[in-house]
Amino acid sequence: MIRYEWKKIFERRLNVIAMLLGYILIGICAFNYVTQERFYDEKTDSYIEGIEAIRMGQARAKAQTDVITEEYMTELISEIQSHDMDLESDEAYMEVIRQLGDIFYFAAKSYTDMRENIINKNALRELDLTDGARFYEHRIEKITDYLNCDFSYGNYTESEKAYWVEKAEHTNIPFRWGDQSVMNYIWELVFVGVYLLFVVIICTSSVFSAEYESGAAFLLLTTKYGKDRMIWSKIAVSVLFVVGYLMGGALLAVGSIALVLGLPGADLPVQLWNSVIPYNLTVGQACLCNLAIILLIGIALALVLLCSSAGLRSSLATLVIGAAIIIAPAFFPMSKKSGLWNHINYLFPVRACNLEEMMGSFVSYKMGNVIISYVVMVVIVYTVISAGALLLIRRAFVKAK
Amino acid sequence: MELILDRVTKQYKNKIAVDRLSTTLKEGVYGLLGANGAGKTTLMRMICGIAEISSGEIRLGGEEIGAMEGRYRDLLGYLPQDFGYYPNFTAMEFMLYIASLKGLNRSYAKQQSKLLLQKVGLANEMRHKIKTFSGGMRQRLGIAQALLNDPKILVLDEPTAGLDPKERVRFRNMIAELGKERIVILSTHIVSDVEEIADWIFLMKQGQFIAQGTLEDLKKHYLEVAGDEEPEKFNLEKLYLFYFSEEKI
Repeated sequence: MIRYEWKKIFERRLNVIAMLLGYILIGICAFNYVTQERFYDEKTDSYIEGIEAIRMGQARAKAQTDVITEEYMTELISEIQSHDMDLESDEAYMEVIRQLGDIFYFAAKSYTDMRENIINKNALRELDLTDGARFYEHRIEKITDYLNCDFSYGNYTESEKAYWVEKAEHTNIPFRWGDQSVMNYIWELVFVGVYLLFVVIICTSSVFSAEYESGAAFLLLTTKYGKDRMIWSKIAVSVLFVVGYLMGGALLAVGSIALVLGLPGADLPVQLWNSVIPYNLTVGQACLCNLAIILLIGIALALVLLCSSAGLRSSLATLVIGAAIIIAPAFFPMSKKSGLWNHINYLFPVRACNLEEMMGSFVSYKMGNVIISYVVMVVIVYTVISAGALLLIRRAFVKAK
Repeated sequence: MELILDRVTKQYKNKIAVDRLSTTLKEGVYGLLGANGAGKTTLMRMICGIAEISSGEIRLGGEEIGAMEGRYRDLLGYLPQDFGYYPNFTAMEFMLYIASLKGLNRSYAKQQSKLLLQKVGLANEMRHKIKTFSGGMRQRLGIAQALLNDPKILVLDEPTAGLDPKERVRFRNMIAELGKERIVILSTHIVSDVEEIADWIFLMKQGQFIAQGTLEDLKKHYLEVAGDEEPEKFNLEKLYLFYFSEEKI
């Protein structure tokens, strides 16, 4: 039975075209990320592009330091301050920033206030180095300051503050340093996986409705296993398809880059993206975690659409619903008044799939005395949605009209 | 085996599609005749358990069919009207797919599929994709799938639609043969099909049986209601036209 349900998915031309386009998109992105990398070579005063630029970036990071120590940060910032120039200026970029590369941005971001949306490069210029860079101490202070802020949509409770500070304090320090460019591409490609969710929508929207649209449902439902085994086969095939297709995309993305460049930087801490991140994860683990979340969201989305496909009996309506679930929340603004709305808003697929942003956002959910971290909440919500949809699919499909 | 319809009613909001129909069906061929919208398809779907019964019940061997669930469906063969086939499946794949839904084991399903495809004249096309089939060939395939599980109740909604005259004759013979050991319920617009093969004919109008019986019974009925003075010229079409001449057939 599974074999035939599988065949039905692959016999629709639209599905096959969508699947191929999804993978072509991944391939193009992988190619672009690698070829667009640029590295400024001081010796020749020119930019090197592509794979060579990545290799030179790796060599530079290795030469800079292995570990982000207090001494190293003090020395680095002192060197930056010695130029005594506006770090937002073009001159500063030419003379200081492009030579330092990623470590400059890492340092500047680390000293930028958490409420600012863009990196304040001059935060490094203004830093008082009398007691050294106080990098890790400053990190905790920065987090604490943020948690103590007055937010128009509601403040952190004392227990939430304590929860996050404790998590931040338990982050492994000092951070190891290294070049993350390859892992950054992989991260970006994992996020491109969100676009593959559109393929999931296209391929699952017709699983049940097509049977009604063609009239075959009336035949299938009169067979011995038409009201149970067949429905479970369709669900199993759809979930297998989602997992297989998204994993295939991930393998294509990671494989194509890893084949050329390997996976250097996978073991670096995720704090190199944003020093305030309070999770003890390596970049590689974060990529896997995000992939797992995209898979979970993909499965939940597929099950919701199967439910809609079975209940509405229209592929087009289901397709529109699926696209709306992905696209519409991207335009939902964050509220300045309602913390509840913001907490709901964070859980929509388009945000939940971007773990990098969410990991450094200190979003937690307080349920009575229990504080649930954002990542755990995403897992809970999408698991509950999946289970709910799973229970409703059969009822929706067999419901006589 | 008795299939009992006991005041079976189907109501859609303000419209009654099937109105308190009661009858008992035993082995044989039952023909449903009626204009579009008479309630034939709805009644067939209720018999197949895919349309909810608003009131009344259908029982098989004393047991309500809804409660029998898979056991009832195991006894059922159904050919819906105008149903979609999977265009990229071959005839054999389609048969095996339906066989798996009917719970037949693979080797038996293969053997049975070959046999039935042969019976409906599709033996040479079993490896061809359904999208290459004509309407008549698809209809024959539909009938073959309905017979896969050797059903005790066979429900055929417009089985001869799309068949050419030669195929129709072959079909009539096949259905008449099948009716010897099972309940066969068929609906059609083609009066001569019913006349030829049905042991018992129901004339449906506005969800009710307005006349029923053997061809002989219906002849008597016609002579009574129409007052026709030429009984030797009676055929079912006359009765049909008597009731439905103003409706779209």
